Amino acid sequence: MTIIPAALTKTIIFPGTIIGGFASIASMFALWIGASLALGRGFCSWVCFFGGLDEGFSRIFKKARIKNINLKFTYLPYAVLLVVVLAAAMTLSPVYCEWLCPFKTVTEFAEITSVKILIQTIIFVSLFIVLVMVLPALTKRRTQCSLFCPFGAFQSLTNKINVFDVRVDPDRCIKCKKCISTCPTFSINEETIARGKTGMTCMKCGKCIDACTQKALFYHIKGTPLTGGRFEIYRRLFLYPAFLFLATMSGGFVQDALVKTIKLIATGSMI
Amino acid sequence: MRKLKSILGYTWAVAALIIVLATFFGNDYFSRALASATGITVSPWYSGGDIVKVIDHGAYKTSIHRPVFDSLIGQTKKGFVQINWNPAAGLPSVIKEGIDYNSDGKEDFVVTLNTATGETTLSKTNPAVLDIGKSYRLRNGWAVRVLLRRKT
Repeated sequence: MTIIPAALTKTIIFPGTIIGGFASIASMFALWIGASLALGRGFCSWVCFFGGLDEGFSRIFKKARIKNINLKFTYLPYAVLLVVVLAAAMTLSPVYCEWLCPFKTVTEFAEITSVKILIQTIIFVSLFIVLVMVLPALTKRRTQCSLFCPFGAFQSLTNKINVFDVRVDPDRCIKCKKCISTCPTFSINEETIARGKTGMTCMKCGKCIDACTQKALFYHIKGTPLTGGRFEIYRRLFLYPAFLFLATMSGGFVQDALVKTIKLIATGSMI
Repeated sequence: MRKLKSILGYTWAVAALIIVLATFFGNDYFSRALASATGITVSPWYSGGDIVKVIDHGAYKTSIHRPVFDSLIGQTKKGFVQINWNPAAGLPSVIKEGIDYNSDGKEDFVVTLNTATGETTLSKTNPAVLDIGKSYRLRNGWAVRVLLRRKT
């Protein structure tokens, strides 16, 4: 959403600083470029702390209560992305952050001092309850990530330039469809299996690889042979940078969470 | 060709690990390089725009920003001018100040700010001045935005 305004006005529409201080925008961009080059949309499954909430709620029940979701809904994030980009360009404001981000519910709760803030809060909380809590629990999918998140939609495009992908060996596939039901982002279906790959929205979480009893799915490095049994090397070459990114990014959060938990126990307040 | 593709693939895959390390260890360098290469700044709708005049009152300073009417293309009809007062330690309990935001030598409005509560009042003399906007407590002072209509 910042791209069009940045291109036309040479300014970033975000309440922060370019370098240093609170919400350093250049720093976030540098992280995003690094993540996109190294992992593509793998960022969403291995790094995104918001996606972690989605993931957590999707594991509440053992079995999915809602199984059939029309795949047309998976185009929704692209629609949200388009609307957000155009609206942000027209209003020169971060529309998604101001009006649509469900994760405001758990990050920045503004004091309700006007009708506008009340409406925004109702939207944030409603989206959080529906997309991050209820639907993931009922479908066992990451519904916020796959049906709404415009950043995820944009990040899918980076899969095109990233070197890692998940491939399917149709000869080994016995069409048990375990991978299809396991995929948190609806990125694999019979059509993509026939093509020997996952969809563009694949976030390389590896759940389908783990679910496949025939070892028909595997991490792959673009340009390298699809046969020859080097799958373990491919897997490690993806997982090492993914784990490293995860550990470095989340290390501070874990430390902070531990300190706050100890404070809560000792003083009754996290602050 | 197939071998070359394979070598390039492996090279990028190994480089991914280096990219991750460089992303974090070199974040400061890369973010500075990115900022200087693009010349991007924070939108004046958030930063308040460039400061065009500073009035020194001794214990504290008043900074008057340029009027902001920026839009994607051209200018908006309505905008604002931001006034900052700092440092916080030198501010009186109530600030009352006449502001000439367009530097025409005439006072355009008088703004008062209660530095304890953030309450503001506005008395306008220029018809382009519409209303008082929000007051903001800054890390080291206060800021007020006064809403303006663009003169055509």
